[in-house]
Amino acid sequence: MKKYDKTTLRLFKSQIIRFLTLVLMLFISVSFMTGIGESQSKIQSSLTQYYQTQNIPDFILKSHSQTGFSQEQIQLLQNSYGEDNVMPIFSFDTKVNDDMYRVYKYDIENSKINILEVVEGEYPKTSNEIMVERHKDKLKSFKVGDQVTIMGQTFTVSGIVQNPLLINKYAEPSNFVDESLDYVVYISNLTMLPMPNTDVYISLEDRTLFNHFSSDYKSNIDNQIQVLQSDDVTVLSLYQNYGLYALNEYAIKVGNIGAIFSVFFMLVTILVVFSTMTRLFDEERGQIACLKTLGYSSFRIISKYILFVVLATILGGLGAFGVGTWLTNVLYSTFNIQFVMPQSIQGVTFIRYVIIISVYIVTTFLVTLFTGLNVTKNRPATLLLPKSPPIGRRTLLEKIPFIWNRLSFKYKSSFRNVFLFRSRFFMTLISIIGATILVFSGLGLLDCAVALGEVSSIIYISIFLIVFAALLSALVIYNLSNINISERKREIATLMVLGYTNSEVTGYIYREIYIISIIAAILGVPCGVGFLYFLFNYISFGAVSSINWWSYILAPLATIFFTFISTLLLRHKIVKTDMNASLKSVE
Amino acid sequence: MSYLKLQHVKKVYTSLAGNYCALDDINFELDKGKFVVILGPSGAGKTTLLNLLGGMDSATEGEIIVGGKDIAHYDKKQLTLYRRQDVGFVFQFYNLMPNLTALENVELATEICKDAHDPKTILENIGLGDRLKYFPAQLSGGEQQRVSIARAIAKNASMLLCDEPTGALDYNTGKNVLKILYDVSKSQDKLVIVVTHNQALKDMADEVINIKNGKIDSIICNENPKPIMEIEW
Repeated sequence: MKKYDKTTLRLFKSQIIRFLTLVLMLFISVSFMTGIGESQSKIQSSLTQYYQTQNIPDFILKSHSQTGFSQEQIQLLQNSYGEDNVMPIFSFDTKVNDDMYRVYKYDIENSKINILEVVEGEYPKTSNEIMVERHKDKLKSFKVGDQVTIMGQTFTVSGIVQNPLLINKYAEPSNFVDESLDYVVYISNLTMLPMPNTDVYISLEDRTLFNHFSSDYKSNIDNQIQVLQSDDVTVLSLYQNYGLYALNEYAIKVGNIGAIFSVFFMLVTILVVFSTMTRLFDEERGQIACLKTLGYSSFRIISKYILFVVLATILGGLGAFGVGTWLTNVLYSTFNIQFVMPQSIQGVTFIRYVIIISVYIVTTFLVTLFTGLNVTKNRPATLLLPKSPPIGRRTLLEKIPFIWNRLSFKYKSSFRNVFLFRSRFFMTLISIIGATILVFSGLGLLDCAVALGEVSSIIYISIFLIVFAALLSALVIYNLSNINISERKREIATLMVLGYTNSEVTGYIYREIYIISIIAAILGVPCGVGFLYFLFNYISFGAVSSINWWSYILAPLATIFFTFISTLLLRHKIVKTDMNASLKSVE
Repeated sequence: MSYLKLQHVKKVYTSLAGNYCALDDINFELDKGKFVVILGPSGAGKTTLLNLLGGMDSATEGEIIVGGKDIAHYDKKQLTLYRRQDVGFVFQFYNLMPNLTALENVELATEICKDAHDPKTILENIGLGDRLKYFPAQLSGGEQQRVSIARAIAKNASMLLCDEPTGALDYNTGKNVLKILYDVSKSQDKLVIVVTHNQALKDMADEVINIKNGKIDSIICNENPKPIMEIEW
């Protein structure tokens, strides 16, 4: 091993906490981005697959005439859509012992359109067997083998089914009934007269056109509705379906929310990577100067830090694959609360995942390269001097001696640190504001989802968002506090030698962290409101007024709580500072 | 009785690689008002000794009596209090807080101890009256070291410990710094201990403690120390 590689190993060893927090941050970000992003695709492809396998009709024609559709009308439809793509149905509602029944009468077993999924039992074998729609929310069902009497005829239930057109568990199966339905039954052999063809199901020949309500599909459907519609015929398309269309709309909503938050997660992550690396380079100025005097090229020096960042990105990204897939599956299954979800597409798509990781690798690489070049461009002599506050610059507060002179030096020092190193201050501040905004938005979104009575989709995505945002926030704060401490080892050691007690030293160091964190927590709320305002407009969902008052308090409190936890966890790092080693030399 | 008395002091560092005896059977006594140089090559145990005297570390065996109290086996809290009240430190690399002005750096030390001197007066006496509001980065090396000395003096501790105080300074500045330290021992009746590897300093000290391989090689008392300005190196 070359000696230079040893310095690389030492970098990982000495900066292990920084490395691990970077890994975890990227892990959280990539998990969230792939997990949420993939949900929309997964729901939509499963929907499209379901549409194809069950051959879901694209139109339902309903006749207003007493006699229903005539043979001539059906013949005409068959001529234009193909014989197999047109299915006449007799349907009616009837009351049996106070229960409202919807009856569909057609050749269930041999129908090629709107194939019912058999959940339990089997297709009717004899003429007195029927099938019943499964139980959903208010819709009741029977057991296989139960006896049911309809229009004086007694039937035996041979199977329980799921109608692809009725996947919404809460919405009424039809918007044509005032009274709510109790049962939906499917009968092949009904002997009553008359049995007009009240409905006609039509499915388009081209099954690829649908493609989860694509715009091509929409324009095609709109055109044909014009043709099919008449005075005594109402045309229903899948756009009026409470199940399929609503599910697709939810998928889009999830996708939009995911996209916006992904951008935000990414911005916060990259900003923290930037800030982490800038400060790492600052800490390693001495070593960089030394390597430069020995004749190492800038790129060779920076390459070690690039390895540090890229490895963290790759490790975090690799771990994220499992969690991202899990997140997608969990989000998918949460839709089961509101919908009878189609069987999901099996297998995993790597494309989104690979793109997200590549984008991260490229950005973290570039960020490190440019911050590195910014440091290595200096002459070794400059690098050997520690970075000091800009000469002569005073904080605003210092110009008000009345207040300034009353502050103890501890506060003076903290205020100077906070306000004099402006770029460092702003980077930290913006990172923590970003993290606060994320948590606040998650809470706000949840409030709106609850207020609007959303069941599956938005509530769960908000909960995931809150969890992931909180994790990211905690990591951001932990990382920045950790950096702050390691940058100030010498100050800590000096204070210890001067006889400052452990709590005085930690108080001194932490004061600064708390000042920034409290400012960020407070600013995070109005910024979060602004962000949610934009988000709600974008996804046409929710309103700022629906946000509960406690979310305005909880979000900043979470930030302060994470700061508290981070400082608690890092206390040992301050207390265990080696006085001698830190005082020996200028690093 | 002397202000500082060490008896059979031993310091052993334990590590996975085995035990290492940094100091063995150290005995000496020093009084207030003396300017003492602890001399020895690198690795002889000078810094270990300074750490023990300064309460930055505790001894493995023996007694370190400072002002009548044995600090050798103090616990961490007691050591913190000891460093706060009884010792002033001057470091090779000054160790000033970069974001505090010269005056504030001195206040940093005086704020937490009883009977401290007025920071401003001390800085003025040391010739930094016009540098009170300067940050360390705006001061020269010698000025920074003087702030560091002012910080140690202002605490009004009985003992000043200086670790290679001239190590990072040029010849003349170094001499000035040593003169200030020497004068402090006389004018304020302090025990000033300077740790160095610079042989030239032995002529200016009241007492010279030579350390070799963790043991005291010799203790020399100068009846007539040379004035610092006559010393050359």
